[in-house]
Amino acid sequence: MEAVKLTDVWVIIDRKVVLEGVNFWVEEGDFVGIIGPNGAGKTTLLRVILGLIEPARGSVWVYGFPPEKGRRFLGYVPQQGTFNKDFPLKVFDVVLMGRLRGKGPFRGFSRQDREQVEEILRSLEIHHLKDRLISTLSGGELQRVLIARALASEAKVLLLDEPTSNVDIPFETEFFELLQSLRKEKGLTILLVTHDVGVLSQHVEKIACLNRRLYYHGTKEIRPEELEAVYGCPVDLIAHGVPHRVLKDHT
Amino acid sequence: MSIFEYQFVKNALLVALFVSWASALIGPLVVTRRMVFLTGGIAHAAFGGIGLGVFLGVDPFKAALIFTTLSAFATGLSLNKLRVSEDSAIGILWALGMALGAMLIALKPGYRGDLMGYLFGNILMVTEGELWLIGALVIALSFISLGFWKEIIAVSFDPEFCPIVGINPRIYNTLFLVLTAVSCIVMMRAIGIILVIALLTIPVLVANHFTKDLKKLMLLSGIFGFCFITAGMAFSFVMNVPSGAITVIFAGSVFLALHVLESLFSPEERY
Repeated sequence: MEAVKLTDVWVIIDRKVVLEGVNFWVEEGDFVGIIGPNGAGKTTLLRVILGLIEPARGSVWVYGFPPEKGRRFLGYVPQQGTFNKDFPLKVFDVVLMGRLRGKGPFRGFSRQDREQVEEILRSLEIHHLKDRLISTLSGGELQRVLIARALASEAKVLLLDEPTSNVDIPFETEFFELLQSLRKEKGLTILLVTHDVGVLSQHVEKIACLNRRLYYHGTKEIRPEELEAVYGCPVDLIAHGVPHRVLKDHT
Repeated sequence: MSIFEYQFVKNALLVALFVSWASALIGPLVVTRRMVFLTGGIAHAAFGGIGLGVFLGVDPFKAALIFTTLSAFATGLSLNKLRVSEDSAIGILWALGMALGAMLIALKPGYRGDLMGYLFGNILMVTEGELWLIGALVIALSFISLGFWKEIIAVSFDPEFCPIVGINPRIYNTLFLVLTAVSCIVMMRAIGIILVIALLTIPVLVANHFTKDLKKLMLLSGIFGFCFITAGMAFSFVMNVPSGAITVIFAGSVFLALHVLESLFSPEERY
């Protein structure tokens, strides 16, 4: 089943074409990474899937529903810096926000909500941080808190925006292992976008390239000419000491 | 005869309580959301309401309440839709409110009311009627804030995330602006339109020295607010100076003194 499906999606912001005829799909259980340079429209693509931006043309489906309805299946892990990191909130309260759906005014969180949050914090090994203010967390810890919040909303698909940009390199592998285990244990579908080609190729199972246009074959294959089209110049895929990892696997 | 037996002192103390309550409720969020100047714009728009009240011959306080609430509502709904930056929009709101007030008052020659009282506040001159209206507003403010607290916190922290859990950020951001407008009106008589932002920020910044947790921040900033206002009243009474101005000067001095003390005792935190 297709968890996410985009057909010929065009997005125009301030008279500029940001996404151009994007066709893209994510199967249930997939682990897909989208790479592209800064300003390629990666965040916009996620926002389109979340229904925060309406495409000028084309259609978006989340589990067969339009995004406004389908987004209840989505968990969003925004790029750090899009929210107020200095906000005087504790980890527990931030994760609890994932349980806001259907609460309505004048109704607090139930005991069940709190227990669920405790359990998620434990499963992500950040339970000991629950009373810490988020402003005191490291990049990696905060990343886990945001994932916990996304999981608290009972998401089936995780959308992550530049998840490794604030995580120290030694923790990157650990971070991807966490995503893999979430995928296996909870049956999650994962879609992430990043400009970091090196990290991605080693950990995800399918790769798409985006720079206004999207190149995707439902596999891990990227053709050199597509990568060149995306980055605007020949890209040397020597990254993190793994020469030609992406190309070697498929050509 | 102790000064607490004067009715106007009792009234002023009640006003101080209500005002510090409102500032504790709204101030910490105004500061953490970095919307101090948006609040300033809304507060200054209140002067347009005062002018309207004077011009129409109705109670300027009530006119300002309605006018400012509507301004905040309109600002909230249009902020993201206008093709101007937020700080330009604030500038326009700020100056337009003041201009409207000045013009409408000029069109009503012979007005002898207490204009300075609205601009700079005079807590010792609050009437009985105003006192109860302020009290009612604070209770309404508390009730609504409590009811929508988790939504307001959610849109303040991360508006991008909110639609995913079914919360419309525009609605709750607008609600918060309206609550901010009402709190400005609550403070107007005590501290004045021009000085409102001081009372919404200084107690919070002082409280910030002692805690970073939102609930404690609210409680502490309320206590500090009350102390500043009552101290201001006392200074005003003894030295015969305007209460709003002396309150802000006193609060600002405490803030500066704390900053200096802190930087003296923890030099490693300087940068």
